[in-house]
Amino acid sequence: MGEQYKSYYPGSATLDETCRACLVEVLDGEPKKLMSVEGVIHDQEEGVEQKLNEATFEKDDDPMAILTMLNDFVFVDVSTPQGASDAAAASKGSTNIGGPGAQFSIWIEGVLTPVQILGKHTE
Amino acid sequence: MRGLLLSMLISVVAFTTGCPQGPSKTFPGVTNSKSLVANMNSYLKAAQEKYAEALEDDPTDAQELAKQIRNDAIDDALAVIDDNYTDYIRNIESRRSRADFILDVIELGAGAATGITKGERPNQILGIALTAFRGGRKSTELNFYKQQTTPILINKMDDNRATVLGDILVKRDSPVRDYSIKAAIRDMVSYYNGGTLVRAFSELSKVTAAQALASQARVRHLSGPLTVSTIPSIPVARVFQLIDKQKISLARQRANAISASPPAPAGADPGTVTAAQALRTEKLEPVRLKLDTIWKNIQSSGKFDAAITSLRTDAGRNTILDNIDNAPASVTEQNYLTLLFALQSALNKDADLNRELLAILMTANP
Repeated sequence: MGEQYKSYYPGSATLDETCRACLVEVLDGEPKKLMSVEGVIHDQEEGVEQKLNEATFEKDDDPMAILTMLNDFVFVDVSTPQGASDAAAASKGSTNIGGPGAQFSIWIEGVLTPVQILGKHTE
Repeated sequence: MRGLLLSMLISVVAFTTGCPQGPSKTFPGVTNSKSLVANMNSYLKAAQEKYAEALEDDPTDAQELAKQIRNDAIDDALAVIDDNYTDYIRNIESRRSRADFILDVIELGAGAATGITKGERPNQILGIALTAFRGGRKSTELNFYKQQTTPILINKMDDNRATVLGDILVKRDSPVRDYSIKAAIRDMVSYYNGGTLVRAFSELSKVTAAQALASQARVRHLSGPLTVSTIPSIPVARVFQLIDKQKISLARQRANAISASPPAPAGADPGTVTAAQALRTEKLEPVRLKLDTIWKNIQSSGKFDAAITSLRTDAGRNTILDNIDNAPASVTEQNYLTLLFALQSALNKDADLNRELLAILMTANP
């Protein structure tokens, strides 16, 4: 188990943009796992609230871990039956982040939405 | 004047002792709740027929006779339902309740359907009946009274009834074109069913589910300074993907070289051990040369000086950097990979520097 840390992304972003931000974070530097992504509210000064997506990553100190790390992600909006169906279809050969069937509540353009995150390793 | 007083007296007696034309819970000779359902259906059927006749005579109901019939039916039915409910609650509280009230849900629904359909809106009323039937069957399997949930259930039943009653009282003033007697009967069925354990359980279940969803939707609040990362563009993400492929490629070459040169078995003679080590060195040499070249190009570029300096804050990486300068033969491929990955982190996602790094990687590892 390596060091865990969090990154924050704007909750106004689209799902693809949030996915891309998390992907770049995973690919940058040392091998790391995407552990979770959750919508949060940042209480700023003067009562201003900011919707953010909080992504948690875990580093692996062994550079050879890059050979097995998930480095290709799909974020699927499962708030609709179609989305749930898409997630089920995309889940073949992928790992569901957070465990089997796990969902995360993520801001998508300012709307909190249940999302499944599927990842796989590609070379 | 006497006639008026007599009429008022009769009316008062009728209202305070129960409507003689309405259903009576204490139907002579029968005390179980089936008589209530039968009487209710019979009464509502008669009221509906009167209502239909009134509308036939006055289709616009200008005299509001049909409305009066409808409202009378509502008042009478509510009075009887309330009376029954009061007895029922008393029984529950004294733990003497019987299950037959639960079954009333079925019977009232089904009874209402047979009593009022005449080809119109049967499905809706039957739907109520079927839902209640399923609930009724399920409820009989529950041991309600051994659980300490009675007050909660009573509160929920009161709540259900109050909700429906509120709707009825609002609609009661509506003309018959907006609120027919069929709709009123449907509301009375709902009012009756609202005071049952079946509905109390189902409504509690809905509330619990809604609260669970609300809890899920409750978002964590954070305070204090936070760094919000920008969303990388698609081209920048592509650069990171290509660098990742380079990193994987180099790590894979090292892994393949190690796989192709297994260590000597334990207890092997020194010659075998030396040969195995020599084979591994030989297998690793190509990737080692690549990594050495990559690092030299990074150092000579001058663009990565700040990042390299920042690597020295970590003791382990500082040692590797010193070894590269002073004892390059001691630097392993794993050391190079560690340094390379850390260097990319130190670039803080600078797009230009990552492109530069990609160019160096692709030149040495085409």
